[in-house]
Amino acid sequence: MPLIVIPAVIAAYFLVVYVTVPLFLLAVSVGMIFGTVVAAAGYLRVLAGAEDDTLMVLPGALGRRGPRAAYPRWDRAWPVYLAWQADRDLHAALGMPRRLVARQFRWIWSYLSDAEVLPVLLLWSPLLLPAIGFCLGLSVGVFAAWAAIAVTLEIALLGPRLLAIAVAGLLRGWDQTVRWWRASASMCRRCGWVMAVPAFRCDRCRIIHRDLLPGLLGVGWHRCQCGRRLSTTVIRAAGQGLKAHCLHCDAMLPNRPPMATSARIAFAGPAASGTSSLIRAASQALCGGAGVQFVGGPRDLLRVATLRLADADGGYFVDLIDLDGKQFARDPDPPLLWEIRTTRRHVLTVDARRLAHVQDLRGTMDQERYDAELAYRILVAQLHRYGLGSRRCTLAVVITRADVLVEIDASAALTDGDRSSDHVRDWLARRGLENLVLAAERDFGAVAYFLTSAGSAHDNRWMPAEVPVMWLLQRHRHGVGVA
Amino acid sequence: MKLPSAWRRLPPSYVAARVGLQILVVVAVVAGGTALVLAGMPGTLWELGGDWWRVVRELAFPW
Repeated sequence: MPLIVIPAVIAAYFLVVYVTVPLFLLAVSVGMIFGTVVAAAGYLRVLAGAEDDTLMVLPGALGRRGPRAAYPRWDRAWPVYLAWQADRDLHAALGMPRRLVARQFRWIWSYLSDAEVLPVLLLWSPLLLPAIGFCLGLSVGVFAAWAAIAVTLEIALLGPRLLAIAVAGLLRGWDQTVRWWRASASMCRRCGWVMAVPAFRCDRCRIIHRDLLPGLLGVGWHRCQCGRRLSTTVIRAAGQGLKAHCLHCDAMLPNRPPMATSARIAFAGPAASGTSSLIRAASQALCGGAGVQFVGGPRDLLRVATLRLADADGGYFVDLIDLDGKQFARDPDPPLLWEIRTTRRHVLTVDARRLAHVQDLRGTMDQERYDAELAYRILVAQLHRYGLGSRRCTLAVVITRADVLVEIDASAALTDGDRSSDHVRDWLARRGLENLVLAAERDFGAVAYFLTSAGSAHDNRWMPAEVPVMWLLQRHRHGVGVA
Repeated sequence: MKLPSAWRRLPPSYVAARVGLQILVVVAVVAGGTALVLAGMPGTLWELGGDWWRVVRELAFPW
């Protein structure tokens, strides 16, 4: 063994002990401190907006919402910072430090993996080890500091988040309670959609916001993508002067306060059973009274007649919905009666002229007959189909065209001046509609029977056309609006 | 105060929240470092270093 080896080994030993190890420890410490500074700089850099181009949660970029949301897509409004952006910022703060650490390790590995450089590095290994120690310290410092700062910030953000949730809950509760008490809802004149919470159009950029309730897009206000501040809740949005629009078809809703009390009555019955005449007569009767007026034009009578009635609370709106009569003569389920789900107040018209018993007595057996029980079954089936549940609903069974009953002997028992519901019920039960009567009283929460003659002059032997409407309006005074 | 250009299009709540968080980060780092110093972390490290140095010294001069 050459003599030079012994001094070399001794020199290497002292080099490792007195140079490499102290330098390694020093490098680790410096790396940790530097890593902490880099982690903090990563936060400050992201919070200064350096990565906003790729990081920012922009309005309208949130995609689909959960299945229980009021509308499947998010409005084009800025989300609350605490909802998404805060966490994205905290997560992104690790990006730059992580890239720095990775670059350091890649730099070292590029030398270690180079066969030509490796012997030289081994010769200089007393200095290479401190470099590796610096990288290790840097890694530990970066990740530990990032985690410590993240935990600190998340704890600091917990208070504002809980406060926002509480305030949003209070605002929603207040808004919903008022809407429930007033039974307010809006009905679209174009598509017939009924909604408790309408959409509102931004009065600056004309974009429609479909869910202006306190939530992840804002508690007290939503910030439209144009920068306009829109008050949340139906009450405050209406107070701000925002125009209400249909959630379904975007049409502007009738010019009525979104918080106004609103009632809907659905008129069911086969075609030509006097449904439209009953609606028209009731509307005209109510419009003739003090404090009652037509809100819609004559065309609205085709599907919906909207009335505004005055009361002590300042008035309320009534939508009389004329369901498609053709759908009540079909079996099985008709597909076009979705309007039925918009209310718990229902009218079933029974045309006296079309009843088999009456036709037999009048000698008009050649005229078209219909099955009143079929119409009733379709009504109940549709209520269940749309999840409304007939037990939660009220039904007014209205015999129309009472004037023809005067002509026949059998009618004497009905048009004898007793206009009570029980009297009409008994007559129907005795004239072959007992099943309908029993089923109605079993299926519905409340049932009343009326005898009217919409097309004829007023007569004390039958009720005025508006009586069933007024009776139904006394029911379900409070509710969430849509039903 | 002149805002950074990227912030001009952000809602004021974003700007306020981020400025608040930046202040919080600085305060947290300074407070964390101060706490470590007050807790005696450098002294502990120094003692550990001293121990290591003693071990090395014994290795280097075992006699």
